[in-house]
Amino acid sequence: MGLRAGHDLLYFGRWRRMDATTIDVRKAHHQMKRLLGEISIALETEDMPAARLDLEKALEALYTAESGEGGPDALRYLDHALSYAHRVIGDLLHEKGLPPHSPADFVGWYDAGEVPFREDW
Amino acid sequence: MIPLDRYPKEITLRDDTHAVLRPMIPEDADGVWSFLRQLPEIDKSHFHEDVDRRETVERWAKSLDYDAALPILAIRGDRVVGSATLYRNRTGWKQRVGIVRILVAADFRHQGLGTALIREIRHLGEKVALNYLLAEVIEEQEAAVRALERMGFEKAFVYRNFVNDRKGRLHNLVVLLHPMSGLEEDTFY
Repeated sequence: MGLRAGHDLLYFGRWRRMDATTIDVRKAHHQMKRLLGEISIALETEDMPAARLDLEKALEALYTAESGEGGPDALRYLDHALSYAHRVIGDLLHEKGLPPHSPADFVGWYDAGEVPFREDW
Repeated sequence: MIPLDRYPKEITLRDDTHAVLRPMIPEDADGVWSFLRQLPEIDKSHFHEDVDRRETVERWAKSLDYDAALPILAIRGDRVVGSATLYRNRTGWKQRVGIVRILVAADFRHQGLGTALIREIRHLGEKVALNYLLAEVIEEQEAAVRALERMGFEKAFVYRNFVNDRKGRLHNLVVLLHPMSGLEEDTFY
């Protein structure tokens, strides 16, 4: 499923680093828009109202991050969008009987020492 | 009626092993009793009845009423390894509030089973048009609290020294709420 890779590209993206540039952040916005678009397509044929609501929240957070309404918190809104997206991807995997996705499993593919991982329950 | 046509449902855990989710049936009494007996003491604290007594579980199994309490079991082989129960009121002012109770066998934790059970209950809550899911967790059950929060539950209250375990020790109770998709602002008046 490409959604997981799309998520991880953002999760381990340069935009989350202390030394991120404006270009890194702009690139992250584009990647997020693409990811949410792909999630939206994946959800079209599924009867998953909770996931749809999370997608709406992700889009709302992305809009706030892009519009400047979030002010200095714009990056935090982008982070929220990514969290909502991850939850929807998790719902889609669950529906298909696939294992949960944890970015920690793919850390070796990325240059990402600073990102904290959260344990599953 | 709560739609149950999605069961049995196979899920895959983090270690690539499988479990089956399905509603509890009367024949599950033995399996559920064994599961409950193996749970850590703290996880049994919230039960109103002594779940170490086989008769208690047998009585539950005989009186299943999915519209009031729907227990979804996670089963590996013939062993119950987790459960998620959705409690609902048919009438009254809390009929749109579902109460959630999730239990995971100690040796099945950190495999994503608890999160999968939360996803399942969230799905069922949407299907029966609840406005909120409510979960009560003892504060020490940190992994459960974190998992619920990651799945969209928000801490509503923390009651200090509010509940006691079976040995009489006091614990903080965390109440978490999950707003459902049908909850629109314009429903308030």
